[in-house]
Parts: sequence; C-alpha cells; structure tokens
Amino acid sequence: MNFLLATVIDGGALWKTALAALAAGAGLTLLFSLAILGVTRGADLRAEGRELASTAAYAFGVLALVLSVAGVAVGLIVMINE
Amino acid sequence: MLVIVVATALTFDFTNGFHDTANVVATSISTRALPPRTAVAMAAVLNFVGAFISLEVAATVAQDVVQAGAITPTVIFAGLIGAITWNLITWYHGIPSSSSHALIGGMVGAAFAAAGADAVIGEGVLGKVLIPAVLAPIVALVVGGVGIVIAYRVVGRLRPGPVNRGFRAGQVVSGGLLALAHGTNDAQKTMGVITLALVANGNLSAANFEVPFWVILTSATAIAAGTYSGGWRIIRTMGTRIIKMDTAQGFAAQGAGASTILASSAFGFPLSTTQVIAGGVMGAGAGKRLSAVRWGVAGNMLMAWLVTLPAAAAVAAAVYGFTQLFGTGAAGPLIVCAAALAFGGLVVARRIRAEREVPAP
Repeated sequence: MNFLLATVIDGGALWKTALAALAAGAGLTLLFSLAILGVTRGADLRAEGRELASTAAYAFGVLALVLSVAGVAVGLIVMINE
Repeated sequence: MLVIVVATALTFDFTNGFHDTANVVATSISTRALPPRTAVAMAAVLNFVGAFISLEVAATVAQDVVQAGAITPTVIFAGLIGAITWNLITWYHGIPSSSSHALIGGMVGAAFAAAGADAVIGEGVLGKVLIPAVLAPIVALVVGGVGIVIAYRVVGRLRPGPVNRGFRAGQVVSGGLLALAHGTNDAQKTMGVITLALVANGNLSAANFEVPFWVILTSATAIAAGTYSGGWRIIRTMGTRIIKMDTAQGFAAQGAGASTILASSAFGFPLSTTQVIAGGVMGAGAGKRLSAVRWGVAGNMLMAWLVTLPAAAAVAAAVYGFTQLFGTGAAGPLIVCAAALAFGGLVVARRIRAEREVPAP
C-alpha cells in the first residue's frame, strides 16, 4: 500500500509546495509586522524627543517593508519562471 | 460541437468567478481595508492578470486526469454540464462545495461512462488532485495560524490604532495577491478543459501540449467577468454573512491563502481555492483563540469534499448517457443545453427571489 502511494504521489513536490507556502505566508506576515513595529515605535520615540532612536526605528521599519515587497516580487518571479 | 463545448467551458469559468468572489474579497471588505466596489473591481482585474501567469494547472487538467486520446468533445461537454449542475445544486442549497472538485469529478465521470476505467488516469487523479486537495486547506490553516501568532507576538504591545492602519494598508496588497492567486489556479482549469476539447476534436496534438493564446484570453476574461458580476450580489448581502476579524487576522489569512494557492499553481496542483481560503481564515482565527473558529464549517467542508467528486461524476455520467440517446452528433448536447438553460434560469430566479424576501437583520 505504501509502495503504491509512493509511486502515485510526488511527495517531493508536495513538500516543496507546503514549505514554499509556509515560508512565503508566514515570512510575509513577519516582515510586514516588523515594518509596522518599526514605524509605530519610530513615531512614539519621536514624540518622546528621542530623535536618534526614532530614526533608527523608522529605518528598521522601512527596511522590513522593502524586504516584504521584495519577497512578494521574488515569489512571483520564481512562480512565473517555474 | 466544439463551439458548444467551448461556450459551456467559458460558462463554467464565469460561474466559477461568480461563485468565488465572496471568498476573494470578503476579508478585505470585512476589515474595511477596501471599499466593496474597489475590492470587487480589483479582484476582477487581478483574476484576469493571474490567468496569464502560469500554465502548470492547465497542463495537469488536460494531461493527468483523463486520457486525451480516449475521449470526445461530447465527453468533455457532459463533464462540464455535470460540474455546472452540481455547482448550481450546492449553491441553491448553500452547501460549501468546490467548483474545481466538481469539474474534475465531472470529467472523470463522463470519461468513465464513455470509455470505461481505462479512460481515467487513476494515478493522476489521486496524486495530483485528491491528495493535494486534502492537504492544501490544512497547509493554509497552519500557515494562517503561524502567521497570526507571529503578528501578535511582534505588534501585540503596540497601540492598536497604528497597527490596524498598517495591516489595513497591507491588506490591499495581500488581498490583491489572493485575487491574483485565484486567477492562476481557477482560470487554468477551464484552459485545460478547452485544450483537452481541442485535442479531442483534432485541432491540437496530444503529444505537444500547448494552450493557445485565445484560450488563455477568453478564460481570463470569463473568470474576471464572473468575479465582477458576482461581486455586486456580495455587496448587497454585505454585513450579514461575513465573519468579523481584526486587520492582522485578515492580513495573515489572505497571506496564507495566496501563498498556498500560488505555490500549488507553480507545481501544477489544481486546488479548491474556496477551501484553501477558508483554511487560511480558520488558521488566523485559531491562532487567536481556538473557540473563535466555527469548527462545524470544517466538518461541512470535509463532507462537501467527500460528496462533490462522486456526485459531479454521477451527474456527468448520466448526462453523457442521455446525449447518446440522440446519437453521437450535436443533437444530444444541444437538447441538454436548452434544458439546462431553462432549468438553470428557473433555479437562479427562484433563489434570487427567495433571498430578496429575507428581511435584513
């Protein structure tokens, strides 16, 4: 039975699909959450008058946002070229 | 005969878009990330674009489900009518069924009735359709659950105002990705069926699989038009059926659905996009609180999964048998088309009238 299933199911493709979905879905949420964290903390720190820390937090947020957009773009390009 | 089959396939594609609009736009609308009209218009456009991105699913439907050499345009017609009929029955009774499973079931049932078990590629149906169909909603559920846990851990202690605004803006992108993903997977199923009909009719060679550009363009247009048309009905019923969720959950659910569908499309697995999106929504709900999820819905989905394939196959086999009563020409399919149009119109009119009679809560 196991042999039959192994010959019918492309386990490698299924695993790759599941891992790609997990990496893309959870990764996108993580990066976008970090972007919100950076921008929100940046605003809070600026209100407290801590300019340097605020700038660092904003930079962190923008970097996470750029990475999340780049992740989406790379994912789509990989898919189109699959 | 080929014209009837292509028209029926595009009708199926239109009903697919019409049927699935709610799944694609509900999350963005319920969290107010997008106004309903904008969400529907964006979903229609991105469904159209998504149809051009990949052809792996079309190849699976055309090559790995039934033997192209063993079937005729009438078989494909019967399979499509089986799928459309089952879609209409489940839509009328409010059963959460999958258009994709109905289509595959219809093709298998009609091929089996026409040419016996040898016409069905058992390995392809099991390995490329059934197993991925079971796994995909589970993957989406896990991705949605992991995503929302990560999101709450990162932004949980921040002020809710900026967090909600941030995720609401992000949902414009994640909702767009979901619509794009829907177009990549669902429009391709119709492309696969039309290509199969062209092979069966002798217009294309079975050895060199290639989807003609006009097939891609018409399939993309039909699903986009269906999505746009379905959207207006959704807008009218807004606020009565859509589950409320916060913006982070909406973002995680859409990200889970889009990533699962896009990854599956890349590997050529034809999924139920309805069930994948529902899996993502359940995962995002369960990540916050297990009791927040309507687990009964999961049971209904499992039941629908078990019933849809054999039911659509049985209807398709019966339709094929009926068409053969009138010979092998176009007479049988034309009579079925006329009867289906009359009956379908009646059912849709009754359903719409019944919905109008329900008072708003």
